[in-house]
Amino acid sequence: MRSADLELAKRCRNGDAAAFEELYRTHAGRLYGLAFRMAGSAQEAEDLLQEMFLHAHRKLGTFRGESSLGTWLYRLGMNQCLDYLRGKQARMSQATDSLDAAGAGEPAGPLSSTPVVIHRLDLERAIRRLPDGCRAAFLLHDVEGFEHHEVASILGVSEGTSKSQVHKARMKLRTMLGRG
Amino acid sequence: MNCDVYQAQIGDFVDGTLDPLSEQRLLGHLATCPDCSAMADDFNTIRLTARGLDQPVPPDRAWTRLSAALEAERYQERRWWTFSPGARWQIAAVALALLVIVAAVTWTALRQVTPAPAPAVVATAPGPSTADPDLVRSVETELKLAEEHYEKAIAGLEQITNAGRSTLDPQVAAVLQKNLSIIDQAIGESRDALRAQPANEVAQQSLFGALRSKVTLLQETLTLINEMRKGNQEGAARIVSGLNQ
Repeated sequence: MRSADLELAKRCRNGDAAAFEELYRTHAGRLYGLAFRMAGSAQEAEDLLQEMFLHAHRKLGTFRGESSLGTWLYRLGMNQCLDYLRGKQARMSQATDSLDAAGAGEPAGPLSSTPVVIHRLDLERAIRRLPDGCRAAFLLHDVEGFEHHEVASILGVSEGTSKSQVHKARMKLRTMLGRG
Repeated sequence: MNCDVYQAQIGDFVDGTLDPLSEQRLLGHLATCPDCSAMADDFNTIRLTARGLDQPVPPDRAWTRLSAALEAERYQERRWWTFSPGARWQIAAVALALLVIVAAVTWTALRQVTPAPAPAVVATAPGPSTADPDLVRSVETELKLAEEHYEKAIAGLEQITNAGRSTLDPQVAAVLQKNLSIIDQAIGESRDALRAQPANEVAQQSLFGALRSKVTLLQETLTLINEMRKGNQEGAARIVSGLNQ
């Protein structure tokens, strides 16, 4: 599997357009989903997806096969998303100084009091209200299915931090969904 | 052990990664503690629901935009002096146009007046549109600058696509022209609305949406011209199919 990734990366670096399209078709769907849930809109997600793959194209020379190509792409992609959100938050706080930055992103209260089943739309809305850091960890672990050691590798944190961020996200979601 | 200790293990428990001895102890506690048992149930429900969320699908144009941008980057990587003066001018115009597009789109996306992510906070904070005329003028100036960036990018792309238009099948060229006319009409209507009401956010978003669509269409046209020059019928057919939608 790793040798196939190295071969594909090499073909892409050598300008093989079909190889790069193969890379795109394999990973764009999940990366777009990640960008969509991090950024919050389809247009931003599309722009972020373009930036992710352009960045990946420039950085393919640094892929050494220590992780899978997918994990490597997720790492680049998540960094793009987090950088974008930091920039967006900085601009929003300039335009609206009266907002409490510490309060922005904190849950406003339960969204619903559904006793047994969580509706997917409610969960999507609640996820958008999570702080960026624990939203990233939650999306990678609970939505995309990465193990904690993979989440840690993607986010550049320890496995313990990944677990605590996912725990924090689940606790906040539980509160927002009216269950805790 | 108290509930805090057990609750710290619930995450690993629902993930199926808790060691057997700890799991046994935790299960014994959950059988007697309704709070911890509810927490475990909720974590499990959240995890399962999250795993079943729909996967948003990127639009087809995402690939055509990307391949146009990649082509421009590849041209940039090749040595400058191997190209004829005419080709150098075209390559520079494409690269500059794409750079301006990315800058304008990023600038516009970050500067647009949009609702804050936490509705409760917005409800209690005073909005800038009601309290700060200087901020409104500043936003108008920046919107005008972003519009100028788009127009420059469009002008650059139009020059290159017009130069290569003879490569295109007449029917395809007619479809492209029709699509461009529709977008130009939308741009005109948005501008008319903004002249009447400069702070009209819907008209602003409509204008930038239309400008963005025009840039995307011109990029796709450029990619189509390149595919036809390379003789890649399959690639060209895919792009034409997207344009006809």
